[in-house]
Amino acid sequence: MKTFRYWLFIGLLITGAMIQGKAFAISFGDEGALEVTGKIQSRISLRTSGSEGFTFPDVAKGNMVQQRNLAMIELNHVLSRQSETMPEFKYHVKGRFLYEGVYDYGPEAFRDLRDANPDVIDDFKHDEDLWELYADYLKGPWFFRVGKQNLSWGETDIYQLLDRINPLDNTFGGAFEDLDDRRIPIWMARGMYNFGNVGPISSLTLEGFWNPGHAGQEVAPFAPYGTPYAYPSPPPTVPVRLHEPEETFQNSRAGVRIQGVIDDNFNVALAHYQTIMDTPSAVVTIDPSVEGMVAQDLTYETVQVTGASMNFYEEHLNTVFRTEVAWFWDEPVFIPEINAPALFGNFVTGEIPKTNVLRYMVGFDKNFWFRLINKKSMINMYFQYFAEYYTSYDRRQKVPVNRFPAGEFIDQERYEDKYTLLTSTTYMDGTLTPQVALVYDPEGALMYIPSIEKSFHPWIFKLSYYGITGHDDVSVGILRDRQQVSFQATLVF
Amino acid sequence: MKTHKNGIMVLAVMIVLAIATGALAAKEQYVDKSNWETLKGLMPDVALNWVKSGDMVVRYSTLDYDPGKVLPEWVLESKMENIGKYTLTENKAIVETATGNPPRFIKGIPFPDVKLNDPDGGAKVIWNGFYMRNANGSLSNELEVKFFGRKTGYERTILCDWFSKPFDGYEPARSEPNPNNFESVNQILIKSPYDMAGTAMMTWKYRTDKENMLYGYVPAIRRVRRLTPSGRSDALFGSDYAQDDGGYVAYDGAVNYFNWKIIGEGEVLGGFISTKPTLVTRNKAGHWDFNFKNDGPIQWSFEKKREKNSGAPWFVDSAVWAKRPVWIVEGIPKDIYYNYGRQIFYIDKETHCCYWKVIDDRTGKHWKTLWYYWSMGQDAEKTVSWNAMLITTILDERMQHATCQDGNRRYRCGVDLNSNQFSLSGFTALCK
Repeated sequence: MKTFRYWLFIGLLITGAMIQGKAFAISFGDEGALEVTGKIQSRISLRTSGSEGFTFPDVAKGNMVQQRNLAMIELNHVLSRQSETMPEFKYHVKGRFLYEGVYDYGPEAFRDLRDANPDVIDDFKHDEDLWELYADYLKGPWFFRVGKQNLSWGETDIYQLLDRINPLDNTFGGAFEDLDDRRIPIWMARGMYNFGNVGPISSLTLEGFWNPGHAGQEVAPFAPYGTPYAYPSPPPTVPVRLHEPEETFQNSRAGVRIQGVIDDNFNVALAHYQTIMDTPSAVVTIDPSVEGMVAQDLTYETVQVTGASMNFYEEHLNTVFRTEVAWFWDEPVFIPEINAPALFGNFVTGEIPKTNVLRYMVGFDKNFWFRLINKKSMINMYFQYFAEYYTSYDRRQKVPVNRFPAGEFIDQERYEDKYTLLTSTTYMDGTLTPQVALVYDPEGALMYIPSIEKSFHPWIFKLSYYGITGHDDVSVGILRDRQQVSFQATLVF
Repeated sequence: MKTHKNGIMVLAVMIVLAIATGALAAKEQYVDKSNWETLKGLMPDVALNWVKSGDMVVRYSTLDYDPGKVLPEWVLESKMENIGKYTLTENKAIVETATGNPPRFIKGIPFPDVKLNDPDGGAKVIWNGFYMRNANGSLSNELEVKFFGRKTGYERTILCDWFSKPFDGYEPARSEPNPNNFESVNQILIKSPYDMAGTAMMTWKYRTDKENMLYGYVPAIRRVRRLTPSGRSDALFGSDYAQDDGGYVAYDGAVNYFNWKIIGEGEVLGGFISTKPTLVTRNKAGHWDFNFKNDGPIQWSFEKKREKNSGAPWFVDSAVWAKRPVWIVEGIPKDIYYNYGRQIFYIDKETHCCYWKVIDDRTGKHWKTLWYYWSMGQDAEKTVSWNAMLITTILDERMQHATCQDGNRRYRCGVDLNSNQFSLSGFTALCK
């Protein structure tokens, strides 16, 4: 099987090289062009800092931690285009082929990990999937999309507020991966109706989606202990049991959003939806059927989110301002005394405490000329300030990550905030893109990601550095021993 | 006597041959670096230098038709009906001359009677160009954006869909509800290559002096995002084009962003895809398709075998260049941060389409040149006419790098696009 996957990837790479970056298009009649595009990508990441604390396996500086090979093949077919009298029909299919080589030919520590736990790691390291499959119908003010798809609401980048509809694959590269590359498409029916102009609001649109909970829910995969992007923790001392949501209607992901443009400038949206937490909630269970009678149960809880977003252009400052606010109803939190009373000598099964959480973001997008460094293209700058506030805060609240070496849990503050900044421009007719991304936590942690991307059509090469500095018990600082440099080669067609 | 008769016969044959040869010479000739002086005064100086240096060979010809008459019928009618009917406000918005109010609808072009000494003449020529595009109705085109370098030759292609819908100028749009007072709306969606596929942009242009509204869809964040209009002179998708380098007059921003002035008139060579009108046919949906295959193959200079460092790869060798009457219009941006300085436009007085734009940088030095290859479409019965800006090219003279927009794959006029497609929800629906 391993050999098959290897040759499958090599075959895709050769096929991609042979077609020299050209997309396929097969025409059917006046409209129906069927187009095939895709990418074949290989990425290698090397640690630039040695493992510390609870990080396992122990990987020395300079060692490979990722050798990911990814192929995406996409097919788009417009069967009929929309006009005043005709509806539009189209469909989209995307296949994804993934192979992570670090467990087969990476450092010994990762190969040993695979040997010790072949089922989990083999499942984790490869994927051949029908990644997206949906059909669209458009007719006048109506739009429907049914199938396996992604849906993103809100105004934020990097951190999600209203954008928590699809689960995230944090095993895919964790915080070192673009948000969209981590989204997992789910089966969903989605519809929109455009009311047009209503009073001072134009493009007033009602949107809704439903991901059935009784037909097998997709949840965010849990990074197994020992994989490169798992949070540092001591080895589990009791059996860990992961429970996916029960297949019931109540566990559906579903929501509605109404949005429009006020006064031809203010884009406003109000939304309410139910989703499933990406991080499972942990309780320590007393279970006589388990050896030692104690187990750790991880369950994916549902949460309801109500929020609003807005953007507008301010012409004197030549700036687009963005803001978003979201209220998370009864979000699971971690209070060791409640989740794991056994740790405190109280041998009863724990419970999941819940509280309301307010999260918001204020940001702006500014494009400006800085001709000293670029005469042809503007500098793009995107700034965001994020904050979260626990309304019914319990001083015992913790982040379920252990502090090294004693193993106590990290404190959860009532009010936390972060700043993000992304700056980029392009040179050489858009083929060279330098970019710097920053995430700063005022409690004392900074993540900085300088990168440079150059394309020699149909090849694109990208070099990125992921640097982290600060306290190891503060947000992004928790991963400060995972600093890495990544080189990525992509063939597009 | 017989000798005399033979002599007359020979003389007659010689005269006929001479006339025929002369007519052929007048009909078409190729102008290159050996006879470039032939084109003095007929091209912008920067373009004439390309011929002089051997970069460009001009197929200099006359057209078998009058392009000023191969225009949509409402444009031809408006040339009589709209004389003196409209004027401009201080902010260069169009109002009725009689009432001073904004017109509810303008048929065809608003200013058929532009005068050389009219201080608003430049702005009126630009408005006419905007309405000329509108007059061709909703467009549904498939564009190839080709990149070229002098040393690298052909580099790559970005494949896009382009949709635009006018709310003014196009007679069938008269009955279209227009509660937002749009002049036109448009969308561009990138289809390939994969790394750019899904990127999309939508622009709402207003009939007033209001700022354009721009939305972008970025696949990486998977949502529609508001864009600042301040980036209109920024490089578009990394190409040599800026967003404003578009439309039928090589300018696609708001009229009041610039100070406009007519600085001359005359004749220049305009680029056309053929000496004949392109055949347009009605498809099953009732839309009008340009059938470029009837015009013969489009031959790009990059496709022919060239000696090293000879010629430039970004020209369409099969295109014809014919003399056309033009207004020469100067445009100077009001925005001190705009990336271009003075621009000179050469715009046809009869078709209201641009042939050349010469762009200076902010210090007054020449930077880029933009030119068009037009296709004037007509049906077999010669009763329906449409106009296509089939290929446009912009050359960055400093970088010796060019980008072309080629609509040869699908160019469709008079499409009945639904207004909902250009709403926020419609735009979202088009995206991934």
